Amino acid sequence: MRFDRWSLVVLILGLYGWLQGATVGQLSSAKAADDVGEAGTEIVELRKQMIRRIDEHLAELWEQRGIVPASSGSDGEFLRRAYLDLNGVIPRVSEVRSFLADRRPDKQRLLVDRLLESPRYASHMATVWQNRILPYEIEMQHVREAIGLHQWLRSRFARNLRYDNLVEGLLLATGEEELGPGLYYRALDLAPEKIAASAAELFLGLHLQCAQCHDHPYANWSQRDFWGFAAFFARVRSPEDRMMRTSYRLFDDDRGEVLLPDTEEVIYPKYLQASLAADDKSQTRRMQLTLWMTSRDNRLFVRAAVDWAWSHLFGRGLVPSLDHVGDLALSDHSELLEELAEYFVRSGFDLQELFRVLASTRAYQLSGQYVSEGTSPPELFARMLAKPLTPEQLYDSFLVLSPSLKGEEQRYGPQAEQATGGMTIDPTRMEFVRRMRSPPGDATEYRSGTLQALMLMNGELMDRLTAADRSSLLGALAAPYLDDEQQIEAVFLAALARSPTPAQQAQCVEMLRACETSEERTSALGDILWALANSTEFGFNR
Amino acid sequence: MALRDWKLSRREMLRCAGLGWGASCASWLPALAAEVAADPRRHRHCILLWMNGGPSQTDTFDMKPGHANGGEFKEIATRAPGLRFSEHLPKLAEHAERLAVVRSLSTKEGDHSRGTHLVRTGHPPAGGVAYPSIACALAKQLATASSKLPNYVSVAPQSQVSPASFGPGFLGQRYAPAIVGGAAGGAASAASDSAEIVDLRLEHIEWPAGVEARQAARRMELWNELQGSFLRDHRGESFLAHDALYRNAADMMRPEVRQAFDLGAESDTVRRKYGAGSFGQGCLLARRLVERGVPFVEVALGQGLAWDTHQDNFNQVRRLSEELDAGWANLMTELAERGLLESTTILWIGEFGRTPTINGNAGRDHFPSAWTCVFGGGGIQGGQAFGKTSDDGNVVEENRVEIGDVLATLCAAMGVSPSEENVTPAARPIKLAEGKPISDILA
Repeated sequence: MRFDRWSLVVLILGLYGWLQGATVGQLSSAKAADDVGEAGTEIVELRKQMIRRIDEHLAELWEQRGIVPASSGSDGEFLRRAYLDLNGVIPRVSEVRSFLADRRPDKQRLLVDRLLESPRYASHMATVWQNRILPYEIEMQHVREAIGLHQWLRSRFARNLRYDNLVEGLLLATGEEELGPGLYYRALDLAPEKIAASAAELFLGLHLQCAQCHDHPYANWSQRDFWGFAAFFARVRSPEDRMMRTSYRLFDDDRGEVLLPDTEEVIYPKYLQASLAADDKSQTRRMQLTLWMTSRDNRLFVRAAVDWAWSHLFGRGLVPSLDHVGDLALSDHSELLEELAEYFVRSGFDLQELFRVLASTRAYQLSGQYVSEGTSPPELFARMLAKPLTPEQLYDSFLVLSPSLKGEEQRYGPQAEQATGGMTIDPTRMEFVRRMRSPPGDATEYRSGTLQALMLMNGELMDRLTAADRSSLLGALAAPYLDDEQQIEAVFLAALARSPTPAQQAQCVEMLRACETSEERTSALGDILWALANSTEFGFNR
Repeated sequence: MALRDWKLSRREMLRCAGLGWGASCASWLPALAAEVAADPRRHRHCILLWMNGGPSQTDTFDMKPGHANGGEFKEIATRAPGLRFSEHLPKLAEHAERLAVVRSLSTKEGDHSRGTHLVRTGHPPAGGVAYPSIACALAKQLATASSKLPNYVSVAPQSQVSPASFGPGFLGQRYAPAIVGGAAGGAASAASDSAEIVDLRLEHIEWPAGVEARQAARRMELWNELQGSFLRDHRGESFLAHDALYRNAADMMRPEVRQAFDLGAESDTVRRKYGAGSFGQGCLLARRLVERGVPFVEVALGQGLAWDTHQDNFNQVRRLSEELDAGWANLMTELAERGLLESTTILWIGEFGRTPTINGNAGRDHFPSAWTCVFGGGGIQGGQAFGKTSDDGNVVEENRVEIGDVLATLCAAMGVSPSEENVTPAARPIKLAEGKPISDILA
């Protein structure tokens, strides 16, 4: 923690050759971390309080509204959910078995800790963030830089860099030393208005793009607010490249302004909901903005971070919109959001700590079952909302499921990524993701097409997973000491983290018994795996 | 079984009703064609002939005979008085009365990737909005809910140059094209009679090789049990959407759908007429799919950047033209015979044109500032050239149009308003096409 903070300070100083503003900003945020660090046991107590607070808040609400929350999900459900949310894959069959057998009362907490420490956490978060911050499909056009950005993010999540420092690093990117973060600016064409709209949405939770052209009809943002914010990005430039190639290096020019559209009026940098930025020659505009933006006192910034973390685990944000104060006040959860925000600041912008808290709540353990939408509205979190697996989660889970795909896993999985600095790429995965990906939107909505379903059913990947002569999962199952029931059980545990129902067990046993040769038995097992891997139950994180 | 195979094509049923199964088509086709063409409720179709690499306008549809830039090819007269094509497009010349050549297209992107994005989406690549290709957007507009066939089929797309320009962008994967036979056949020998006919297949429409009928039955049986048991206990729109989508996909694996894509059902004579390569066979497939109601079909010519003739332009363009001529001309003939040309708009276009000046390698380079695209078929007033370039071909002299106008014309020709909007996830409305339809070439 300490090292990260100081290395960033040094980096900033080195890059900007300039002292005072930076130290003030950094030290003020550093103080919060020190408070926590010095009182190690205090954090455990605070954490417990925070979890209890969330549980009580939701329980109270449910009671008020006469809502019966879903029952707690099974161990298998929790295991699969936590795996997918925090590591981006389904658990291996061996982990399913040992988790189900584990009798320790705190095994869920221990699991979450383990998942947060896994290298998969870092690469999954890097994937999630990359998809979040880059425009849809842009990485297809900038493959090398996209890999660089992934690696850049991965290394930061791996050492749990403070969230405020992560955002600072991204916004102050120069692309001088590392391939990657500069792609964020490049993907937005270095256009101040595009960067402004994106940064406001990602890091402040504000949807400003409408205000680009007109005063925002529903919120308190005017067109001038928007351009005042955009003005902070007016001087970000990319050096001319004689070869006319796209450059990913960035620097801050000492001139460049934005104009109010259709006028000649220069709009000067102005913080949102705040004052004009001082005309400070010693500080770049990006630097000024970043210091304001990531300050612990900037509630917009902290709220947006907490709301994002909540939505990552629960499928939707805690509040419907962060855009305007009026809406916030109307939400059932606005107070809770403020408390979580405060907790996040006190923890030193510790994202893992935030996930640890959220994953320990009662709400995170609830099953997804409910009677009707009316009796359990999604915004009350009285049941777990199901999220379709992302293309990356699907692909990576197939790799976990079948040792036959082990080659890719060894060559391109998180271990390999760590070893090679992330500069290798699995072309099959990339193509799969390209063809499966849906544009950004509601994480709980299933928006795939028929052709994607056909690709899953009949494509090369599924065939390698389920063909008798290609899948070594099937090969491993053919061990003579496993009887029919045990083999079927193993396939179900591997795919769904649960045992078959009696009816399913009977149906599968019958299928196996009808086979005359051992080859046929293996292909029948492959067919069982096929049905599981294509089922709705498999296709969702529930 | 025989009857069931006919199920998807009511038109074919109609055609065979009251006739012996072996009856020749020739006698009754014209009458039926007139009937189909006159039906105001007929479905509209679009066929995009995509010329990856950027075709040379000077050697095809905007020739400059007598000028040093003109090159080696001669001009020939067409069925349309005053409209002249290259000598290597003789069959197409017979259809000139149904073709409108736009010779005044001017764009600003001279790079394959950016040009492809511009032409296919109407916008230069930029952050912020993932624009859908016009093909996906139009297929969405023209789609009918009841069809088991995909709404947009793309034959041998060469999308590596700019993957995003070939996809549905923010519309979502449900509007993505169904890809047929990704690898294109060898263009060099495609037009010759002896060449092996390319086999085009719709991806993933069949169980992988080695999966037997019994296995398929086992898979679906257990899958049905899993779905039933899961959906009994789990509610939610998304679960139902997933289930419905898989059932749809399974429907597409039925024989009658596969049959629509089976070019083996066509005689060898017909297949050869179209040309043995993927373009010719793609044109034949386009005809079969339009017959069965598929609203949008795209066929690419050649592998990679086939028309990118920086060197040896004339030999390459001659070969490409022969392939183009056979496929496209036969497509028009057979659509017309079936009364489907009236409801099918065809657009021939690439990412840009090529320099009128010939470089030191007998080649032509990228040229976006004055180039040509061709419209044909339904909704188009054929037999004319619109716009004019200078004698040397370097500048547009009359009726300059931009890419938005071309895409708007395509929409309008199919009776779709170009100002129809799709809304991005950020709630920003995006028009199908930003330009103005070229009214002079609309029927």
